[in-house]
Amino acid sequence: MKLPDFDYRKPVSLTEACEMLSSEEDARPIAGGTDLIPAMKYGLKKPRVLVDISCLPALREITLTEKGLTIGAAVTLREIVKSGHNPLLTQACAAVGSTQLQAMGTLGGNLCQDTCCLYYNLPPMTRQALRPCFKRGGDTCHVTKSGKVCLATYAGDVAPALLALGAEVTIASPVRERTIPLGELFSGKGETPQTLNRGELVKEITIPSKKSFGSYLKLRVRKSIDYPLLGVAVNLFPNGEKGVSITVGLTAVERKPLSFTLPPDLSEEKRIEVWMTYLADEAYKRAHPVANTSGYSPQYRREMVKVYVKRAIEEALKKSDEKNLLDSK
Amino acid sequence: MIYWLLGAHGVEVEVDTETGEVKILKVYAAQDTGRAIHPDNCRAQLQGGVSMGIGFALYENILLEDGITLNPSLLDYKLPTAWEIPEIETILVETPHKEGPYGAKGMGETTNVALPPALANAIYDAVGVRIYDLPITPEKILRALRESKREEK
Amino acid sequence: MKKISLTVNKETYELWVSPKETLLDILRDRLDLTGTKRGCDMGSCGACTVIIDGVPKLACLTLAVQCEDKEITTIEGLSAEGKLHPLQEAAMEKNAIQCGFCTPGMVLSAKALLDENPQPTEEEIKDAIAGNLCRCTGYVKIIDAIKSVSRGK
Repeated sequence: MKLPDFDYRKPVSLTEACEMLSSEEDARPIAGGTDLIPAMKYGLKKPRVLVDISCLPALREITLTEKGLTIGAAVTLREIVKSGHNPLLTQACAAVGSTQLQAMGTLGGNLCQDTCCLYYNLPPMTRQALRPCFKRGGDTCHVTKSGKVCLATYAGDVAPALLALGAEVTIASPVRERTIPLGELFSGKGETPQTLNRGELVKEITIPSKKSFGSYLKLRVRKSIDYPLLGVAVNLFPNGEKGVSITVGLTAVERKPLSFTLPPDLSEEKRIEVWMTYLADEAYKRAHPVANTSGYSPQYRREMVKVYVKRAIEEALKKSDEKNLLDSK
Repeated sequence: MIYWLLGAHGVEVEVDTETGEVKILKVYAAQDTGRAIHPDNCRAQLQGGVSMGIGFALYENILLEDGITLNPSLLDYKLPTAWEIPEIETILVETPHKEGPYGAKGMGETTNVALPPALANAIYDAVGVRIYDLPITPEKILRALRESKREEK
Repeated sequence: MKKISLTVNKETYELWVSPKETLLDILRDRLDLTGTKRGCDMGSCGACTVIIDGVPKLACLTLAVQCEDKEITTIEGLSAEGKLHPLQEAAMEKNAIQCGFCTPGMVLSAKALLDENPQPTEEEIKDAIAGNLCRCTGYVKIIDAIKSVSRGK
C-alpha cells in the first residue's frame, strides 16, 4: 500500500513544532506512526504535512518529583514499561498491541489515537461499497443503519489507567501551555476524539504522587496485537481512617474513555462487596459498547463490564499492602 | 494411489464459567503417517495443523454483510499468536501403507480438521454444553450454560 | 525528495527518498534487502520486523526519513561474513522453518530479546514473538529454537 504525498518536517524545538502545526493548513504530528500510518495507507487520512515530534527533548523526559511522575508525550510505551515507575501505568502500557507496537508507540500517540470502527477502518476497495459515514465526512452511520451520530469507539489502553490515577495532561501551543485533567482531553465525539485546537500538542502527563494500588484488565480476543474490546482500570487510594478512595477507568465502551469514583460515604465503609457492587453497577450504566468491532458482541462486552470491574478490584486489593483495607465491619 | 488420512486428537481445556473464555491447556495430536520419512517434519506439520485448528475453532471468523467482508485485514481476521498455542504432544503412528514409497503416505495439516470437534467435546466434558458452530466464542458458551441451567429447573 | 544517510547492517547508504517511502519500501526496493517481508503492511503481522537501535520495530510503519542516524539491522545483517547467527543455526536444527515467511521477523524479534535478556523464561519468549504471526509452525519449534540458543549462553 502506498502512502499519499505529504511534506515532512522535523522541528528542533517544541515551540517550532507547535508553530508548524499551527501555520500549516493540514498538518499532523507523527512519532511512532502506529496509528497514523495505517490510516494514511488506507487513505482515511491525508495530511499535507507531517511534523516529526519523536525526538523533541521536551517530550522525551521521565521525571519524578514530590509533585508526581511526569512523562513526556514522545516517551515510548516500551520505555515506560522498562522504567518501572507506577505499576498500574506499566500494566496498561504492557497490554498495548505487541512488543514492536509498544517499542514504536508513544504515550501521547496512544492517548491521542483515533477512534475505531469496523465500518470505517477498511481498505479503499471495500470502502467503496459503503456509503460514506459521518467519520468519513458523510451522512450516515453503518453501525446503527439509521444513526444520527458517529459511534466510533475509543479503544486506547493507557487512558483508563491514567484516568484512574488522576492524571493531568499538559498541552503546548505556540503561545502557551495549559494543564487540564486528562478527562478533558477527550471530546466524546466519534469523528474527532480529542479536544485539541489547531497548533496544540500534548506535551506530557503528570500522575500525582499519592500512594495507590491498581490493576488494569483487558478483554481482547487474542493475547497480543488486538485492541481492547473492554478495558477496566481500577485504582485504590488508601485514605487511612477515611477508608479507601477508588477510581475506575473504562475504555472501548464509548466514544471516549470514562472514569468515575466511589462516593465518600461508601468509601468509609470498609466492605469490599459494597464497593464492588456499586462500582460494577456504575460501570455497567455508563458503558455503551456498539457492534463495530471484529470480535465479541456489544451485549457480551457490556455484560463483562461487571465481571471485569469486580476482578480488577480483587487484583488491586491483592497488590495492596494495607492490612486495614480488608477489615470488614 | 488412494490413501486415507487417519488421526485422533485429545484436548484439555479450562473454561471460565463467569466469562465463557476457553483456555486450551494441552493438545495431543496423533496421525497415521504410513512411514515417517522425516519424523521431525511430520511433527512440525501436526503442530502447525493444531494451531490452524485453534484459529479455526476459536478466533477466525469472516464477517460478511451484504456481500462485503468487514474484516479483510490481519488485524481483524484473527490468527492465533504465540500466546494462543498450548503445549502440543505429537504422536506419529506408523502403519506402513503398502502402496506408498517406503510405506509412506501423505500427511499434513489435517489436524486442522480434527481439532475443533475435539475442542468442542472437551468443552462439553468440562462444562456440559455443546457448541455446534464456529468460532466457539465466550458468548456462545455463556448462553449455552444459561440455557442448560434453565432447562434443569 | 530528501537526501538521507541510512545505516543498515553496519553499511551506510546515501539515498534520495520521498517522505512517503517507508523503511520497508527502501529496504526491499532500493537496497535489494528482500529478507524483510511485506506481510499485512499495516502493523498487525510482524513479518517486517527489523531492529532499530537495538529495539524491534515494524518497517512497514516506519518512514525512511525518520531513520537517519539510526542503526538498522535486518535479517541479512545476522550472517556477517557468511557465518550464520546462532538463532539461524538453531532455527534450522530445530526445524523451526516451514514456509519461511515469518522467519526473518521472528528471528529478529528473538535476537532483540536475547540481546537484552539472554536467559528468558518461556513466557518472556512468547511475549517477544507474540507480535509475529506464523501460520505454518504453531510456534512450537520456533520457541524450542530460541530456548536452545538461550540455554547455551
